[in-house]
Amino acid sequence: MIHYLRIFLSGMKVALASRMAYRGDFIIRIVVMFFGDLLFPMITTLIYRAGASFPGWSLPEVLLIQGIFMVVKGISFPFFFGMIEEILDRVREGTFDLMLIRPCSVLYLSIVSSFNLEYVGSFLGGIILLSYALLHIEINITLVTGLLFLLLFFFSMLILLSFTLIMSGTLFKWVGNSRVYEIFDAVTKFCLYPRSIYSEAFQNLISYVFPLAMIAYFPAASLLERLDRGVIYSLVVCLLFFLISRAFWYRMLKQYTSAGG
Amino acid sequence: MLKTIKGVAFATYKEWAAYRSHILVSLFIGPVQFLVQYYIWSSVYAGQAGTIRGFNLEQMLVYYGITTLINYCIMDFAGWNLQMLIRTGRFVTFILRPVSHRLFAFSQKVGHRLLGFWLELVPVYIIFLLVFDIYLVPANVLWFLLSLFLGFMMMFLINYCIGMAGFWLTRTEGIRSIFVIFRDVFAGVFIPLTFFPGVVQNILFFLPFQYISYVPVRVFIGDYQLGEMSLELSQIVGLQATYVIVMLLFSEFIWRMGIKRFTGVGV
Amino acid sequence: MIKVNELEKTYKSYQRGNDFLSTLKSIFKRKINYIEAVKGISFDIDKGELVGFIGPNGAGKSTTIKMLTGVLHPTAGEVDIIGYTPWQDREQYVAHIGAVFGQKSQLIWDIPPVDAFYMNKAIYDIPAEEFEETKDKLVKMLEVEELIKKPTRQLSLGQRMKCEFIMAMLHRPEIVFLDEPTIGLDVIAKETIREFIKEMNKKGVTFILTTHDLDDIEQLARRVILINNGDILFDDTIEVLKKHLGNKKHIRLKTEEKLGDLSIHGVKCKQRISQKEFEIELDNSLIEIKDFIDQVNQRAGVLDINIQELPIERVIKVLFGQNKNV
Repeated sequence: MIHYLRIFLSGMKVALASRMAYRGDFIIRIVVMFFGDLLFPMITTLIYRAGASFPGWSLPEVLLIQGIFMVVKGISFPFFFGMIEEILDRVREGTFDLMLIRPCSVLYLSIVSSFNLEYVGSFLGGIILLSYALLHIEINITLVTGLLFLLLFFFSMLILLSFTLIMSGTLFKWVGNSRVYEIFDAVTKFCLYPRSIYSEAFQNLISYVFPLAMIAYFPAASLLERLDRGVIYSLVVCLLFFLISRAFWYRMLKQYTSAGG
Repeated sequence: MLKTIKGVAFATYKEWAAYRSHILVSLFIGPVQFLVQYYIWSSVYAGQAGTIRGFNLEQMLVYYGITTLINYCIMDFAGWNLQMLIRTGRFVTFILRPVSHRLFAFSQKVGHRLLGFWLELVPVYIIFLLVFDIYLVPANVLWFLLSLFLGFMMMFLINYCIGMAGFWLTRTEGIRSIFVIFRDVFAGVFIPLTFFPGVVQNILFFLPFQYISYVPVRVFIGDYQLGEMSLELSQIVGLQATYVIVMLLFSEFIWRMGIKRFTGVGV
Repeated sequence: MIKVNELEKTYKSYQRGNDFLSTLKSIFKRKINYIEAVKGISFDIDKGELVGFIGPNGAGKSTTIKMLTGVLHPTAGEVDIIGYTPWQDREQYVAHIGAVFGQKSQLIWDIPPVDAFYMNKAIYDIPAEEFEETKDKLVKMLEVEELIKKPTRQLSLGQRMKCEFIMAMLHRPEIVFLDEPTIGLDVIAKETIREFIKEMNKKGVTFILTTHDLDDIEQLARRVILINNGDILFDDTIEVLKKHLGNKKHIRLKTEEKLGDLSIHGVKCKQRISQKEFEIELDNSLIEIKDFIDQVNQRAGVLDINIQELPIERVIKVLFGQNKNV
């Protein structure tokens, strides 16, 4: 346990020092994250300014969902999302083998050696959005809703980790395909809006099969007291989803080690 | 010149054909992003009959559908490629060639997009037609094709200019990504430009970005509007052509300064 | 210490069409090509040995090393190294080994090597005292005290390679695998690296290295395993290898004047590039090099001469030819 904590700390130190070698670029990347993520809240605002709306949802309520998405990303991505780039590069260049001659879990090593702080941009944008939303919505957060929110928030991070595992696992086989990021961006667009805009079947799909609704909608709904009982099933689905994506990652790794890159 | 374009374009086409599995990812991404827009606007128009900012639901879906397809026709990596060549120093080999790098990059784009036409545009068009029941036919084929070609040129010239920043700066990836976000927003890729506040619309009218995507899309629909402007197709396409020529001259100017700097400092 | 029994690796590769139609076909029915990279090899290595694997590119050296380090799963066969099966007990096993891959850097491009060393300290869970002691000793041996504090990207290839070796030895491995460790290095750097390997080997570390440079083998290894097309062609000491080969040298010669024919006893002309330029194989047991040079110098004047060990392809031809005869 202490061994793994030490690996984490030294991995984080090295990754940070590496990024800091190009300070200017690092700061610009944070700015890119910030603007890139604020794009969709801006478009939502433009829609509402035109006098239109998502039926049953006020602008601050929608922005609450989008703000939560950014904060979840901002908090969790520094710890694992860089793994995709790490594996993409290493498999392409053939240096992933070097990860396999280290005496610790390959998955853990891939995660800690790709610590990346540039998602601070998303976090800042998310905090701004959240504050705006919370100032304009009347909600009283009780201990119960607060705890529920934290639980859902944790599961949200778990789903993002699952997606990261699926994407990086794919890269063991689909060598050098940087378009996995575009796939991720396209799929997570569904997280940015109230679930009620989708058709019944699609709502079930993103709640109980690919639990995209857990990423931002459910945590937001818990604060707005709009949760239904279905969320309990969704929690179970999330756990399964995580286990399956983890198994998928290891399966792809196994294929990599028997195919020899 | 045509011979060069044909030769390079054909080689690029063949080279990229090996990466078709990468290009085919578009068949997933395009429809998924369209599905998001489909749900957004279906929901928005459900609570609001009639038109919003000059669009009814059907026109809005056509707007996003055609924006997606136009992007398959005009997107390119010219800027990224150029700055990579400069940073790694491989650009030197192009100075020694009889063909200018700009023409070379343009020809590459032609070949790359030719491949995109078969692998992205045609299949996605069929998906839009069969799955979403979006029937995409331009109001006036000739004006649209002309406007599309000008959009193709505009996209290339703007990207190429941004790539040329590499002559002056060592790391331009960050700046380029920020620029790309603004380029797409101001070109109307994410939302029709008529949704912006009036003042912004009037400014956007004078910037080159609308001529990349927004203008071809409006020409496709057959009616042009932005801010207080409402123009005939011939007028806006004429304006688009003027902007492309200005941009061409501007890029020529930057190119000459850039080469001077590159050969003066490097090599 | 190392026991390898009938180790085998077959790669599967799918044939891909180039045109549209064959791509479409390949979705339904894929043609599989089997490539036998390693065809059932066996050998034992004792503690403290320094064994060199040689063979041309694509012979199966790297595949073998990958299987021995636990990176690659074999198709069949057994390996027992200090009680572990590398690909099964990977995590525990790799703590005991070190590896340097000539073309894959373990250092981190943008930060100084010393910071990367500290990362290995955490990963291998090396006690602080032991780590400092080992690090200082290795740094002193390779004379890189100042270099390890500079960002890696500013170091030359030779300097980086020295740091790669430190990186691989910090946890005091019992066995060290080296895959083409001298590739691309200049003569002086090669010499330093070879001295270092010899020194560490004297202290009891077992080394297994692959190379396609016969010089590496001559200077380092006592035992040579020659691999070609996935098979072991030869496994014995360097002295035996030399006896098989005869003491032959590969010479490239340029003369001032035209040199008609090269009828000198013990000299075989392999290629006549022009009338003044030749590639020659010289049998040292039949003629001394200095006598050869004397003779040529008198007849046509030596302009340029380059004497090398036999290239690996030639060695294989010689050995393979003998095997056939037996």
